[in-house]
Amino acid sequence: MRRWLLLLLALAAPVAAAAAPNPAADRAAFQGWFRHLFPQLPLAKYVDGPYNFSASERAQWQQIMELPPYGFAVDHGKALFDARFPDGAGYASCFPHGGIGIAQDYPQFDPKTGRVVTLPIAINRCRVAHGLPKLKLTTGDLADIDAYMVRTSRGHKIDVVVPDTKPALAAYEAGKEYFYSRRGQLNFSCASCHLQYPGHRVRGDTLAPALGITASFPIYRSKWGNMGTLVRRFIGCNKNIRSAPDKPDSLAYRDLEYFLTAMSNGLPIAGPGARP
Amino acid sequence: MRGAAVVLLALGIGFAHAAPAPDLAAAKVAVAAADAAAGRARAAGDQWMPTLAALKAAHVALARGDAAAAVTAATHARHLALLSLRQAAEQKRLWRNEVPRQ
Amino acid sequence: MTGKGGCVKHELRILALAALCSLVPLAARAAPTAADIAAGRKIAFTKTLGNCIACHVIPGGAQPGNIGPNLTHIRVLVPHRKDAYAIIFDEPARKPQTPMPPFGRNHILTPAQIRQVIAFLYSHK
Repeated sequence: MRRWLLLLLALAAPVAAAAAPNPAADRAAFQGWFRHLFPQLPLAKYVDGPYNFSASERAQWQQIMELPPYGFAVDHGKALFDARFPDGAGYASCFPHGGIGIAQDYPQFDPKTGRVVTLPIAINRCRVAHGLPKLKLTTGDLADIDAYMVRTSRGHKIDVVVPDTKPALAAYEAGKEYFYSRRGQLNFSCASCHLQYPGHRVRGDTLAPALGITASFPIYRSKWGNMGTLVRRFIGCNKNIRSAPDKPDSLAYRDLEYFLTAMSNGLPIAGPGARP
Repeated sequence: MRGAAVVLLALGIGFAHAAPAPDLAAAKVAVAAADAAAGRARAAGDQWMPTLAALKAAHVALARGDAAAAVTAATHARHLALLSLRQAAEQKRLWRNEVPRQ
Repeated sequence: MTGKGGCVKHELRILALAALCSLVPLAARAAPTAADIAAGRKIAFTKTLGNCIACHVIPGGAQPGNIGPNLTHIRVLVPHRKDAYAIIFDEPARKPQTPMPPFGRNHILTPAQIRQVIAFLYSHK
C-alpha cells in the first residue's frame, strides 16, 4: 500500500513541477535575467554579442567593418538567389514578399510536418520543391544565400511565433530543455556559458550572451575563414564540451534554434555578422 | 547480499589483470556491450565524443586481432557511455534548476 | 526511467569498484616531484587535457579566462590539498550550479593527473 502511495507521489511530482509551456513568460524571465546582469545595456545592443564587453575586440571589429568580411558572401548569395532554377522559378517564388526582409520570421513551426523549419532549411526545401538537391546546411552556397536574405532583413525585429498547439509547444519545450541540459564529458549546458557567464572570457574568447545571439547569424568567423550558419556554431559548441554533435538538420538543433530565437523576439536582425 | 555480490564481482574484475589475456570471443562480447551502451547514450541524447573515440579504438583493435587492447578500449567506452547515461537521466530533472525565474 | 537510471548506477558502481581495486598498489604516494609539477603544468595549460587556463588565472599561463577564481593564491583560497582534489574531481557534487567540469567523475583526467595538477598549482608560493 505504502509502496503504491510512493509511486503515485513519484509520478505526480514531476507533473506538478513542470508547468504548461509559456513562451511569453519564458521570454520575459529570460530577457529580465540579462537586464538584471547588465542594467546599462539596451536590449537592441545585445545583437553585438561579445563586442559589448571587450573594448579592444570592439575597436578591432569597427575597423574590420569598414570592409565587412561577409561582403563577398552577400554578393554571391544575391547572385545565387536571383538565378533561375531549371524549371524557370527562383528562390523568391518559395517565400512571402519574394524572400526579401523575412528572416525575422524564422524559425517557423510547420504544422504539416510537425517540425521546426529554420531559414536555411526553408532554402533547401525550396530547392527540393524545384527538383534541386539540398545544399550543405553549415557553410558554402547555402550560408551565402542565407547571408543575403538576412542582409535584406537587417533592423527588422525578430518575431518568432510559437502557435498555441500541442506539437508546436512540444518542439519549443524540447529546444528549451536542450538549452538548459548539461551534456558532454565536460558537463556544460548552453546556459552554463551563454546565460550564466556572458561577457566573461574563456581563454581569449569573450562569451556572447544568449540573448540576441542568433540575430547576427550567419557569421563570418575569422577562426573559420569563411561563413557559417547557426547550426555550424551549435556543432562547434558541442565539440568544445566533448559532446558528439547532432546532424545539421536534426530535430534537436531545429528545436534549439526555435527556442533560442524566440527568446530574442523584439531585438533587431543584425546579420550577417563578423566574429573573431 | 547484492552489495556482497557486487564487491565479489568487482574483485574478480580487479584480479582479472593477473589472469591470462582475453581471447577474441571475450573481446567480441566486450565490444558488443560497449556498442550497446553507446547506442543507449545516443538514444538518450547525450553521446560523448571520447566514448566514440574509445569505441572506434576497440573496433580497430578487434579487427587486427588484439583482444587485450579491444577489451581495455571497450571497457573504457562502456564506462563513459554509462556515465553519460547517468548524466542524461539526472538532467531530466536538474535542467529546470538552470532556468531563470521572474 | 527510474528503473533504467538505477540500473546504470548499479553498473557504474561495479566499474568504479573494479577501477579502485586496480589502483590499490598506487595508493601509497610519495611527495610531488619536479616531474609531477611539470606534468601538472602541461595538463593545466593544454586544451585537450585539463585546460584549467581556459577559466582560471594561473601564474605562467597566457590568455587566461576569468570564469573561475584566480588560482595564483590557491594556498589561501583552498588551504588543504585534499579539498582541491575534491573540487577538481567532482565540483558539481558539491555545488550543482557550478560550471566547473567534474574532471575525475567524468574521466577527463585520471586521479594521477589530478594529483599532478595539484602539485603544479601548489608549487606557486
